[in-house]
Amino acid sequence: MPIIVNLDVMMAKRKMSLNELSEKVDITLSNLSILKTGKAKAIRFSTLESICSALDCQPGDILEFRTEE
Amino acid sequence: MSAKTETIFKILKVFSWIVFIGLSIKAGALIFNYIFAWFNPAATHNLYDGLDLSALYQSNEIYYQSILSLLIILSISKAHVFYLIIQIQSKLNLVKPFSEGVSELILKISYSTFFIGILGWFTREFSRWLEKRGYELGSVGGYWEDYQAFFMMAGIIFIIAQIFKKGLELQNENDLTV
Repeated sequence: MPIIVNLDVMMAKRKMSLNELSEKVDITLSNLSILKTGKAKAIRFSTLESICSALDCQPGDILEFRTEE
Repeated sequence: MSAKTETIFKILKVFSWIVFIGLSIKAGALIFNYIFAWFNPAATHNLYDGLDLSALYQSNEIYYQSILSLLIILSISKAHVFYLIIQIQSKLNLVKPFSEGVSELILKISYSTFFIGILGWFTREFSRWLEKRGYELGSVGGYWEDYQAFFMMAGIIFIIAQIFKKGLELQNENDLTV
């Protein structure tokens, strides 16, 4: 998929574990894992807002567009 | 799921089993008598529930075999449709109704009912053709007179199958929305 989720990169930068993020944004571990592994088909604005708030970043830091080769 | 819906589902399940067993008995009896009539042609007088093909048997055995084979295939196909309905009822989960298995079963039912419609229509045309040539078929018409209903059913079920497919896509998308 051309949209890449860089959640793991941002989590590493903020030194935050998946469990910690899950507690902060109130999203289940399985849903966060779906997002992290790039299996998600869509993301709600509310989810994006909570993740950005928890990781203190911009949506562009988490989502990236890459052209397919 | 509400108690009322649960009760309706239970009643439908029992009803489907009754119809399936009835149709299986009918198909089984026809197959049994078809084989039995090879050894005892007198059985052609009453093959199942008053089905008398003795006149046709005496005048042309090939046509008799053809008509009876078509009746057997029709009966087996009808029983098969109810078997698929029973399978759907056991697989259906109303909390997450859209699943690959149920979607495939609905599509299978649609194809099976269409096949029954085609076969019913063909058998009717064949029997008319035989009657025009002076062969006596008795009260055999009751076996395929419902073929139009099967065509209509096939059409409706096919539309439902397509809607179900779309529902499956939407459910998957919803499940993968974080």
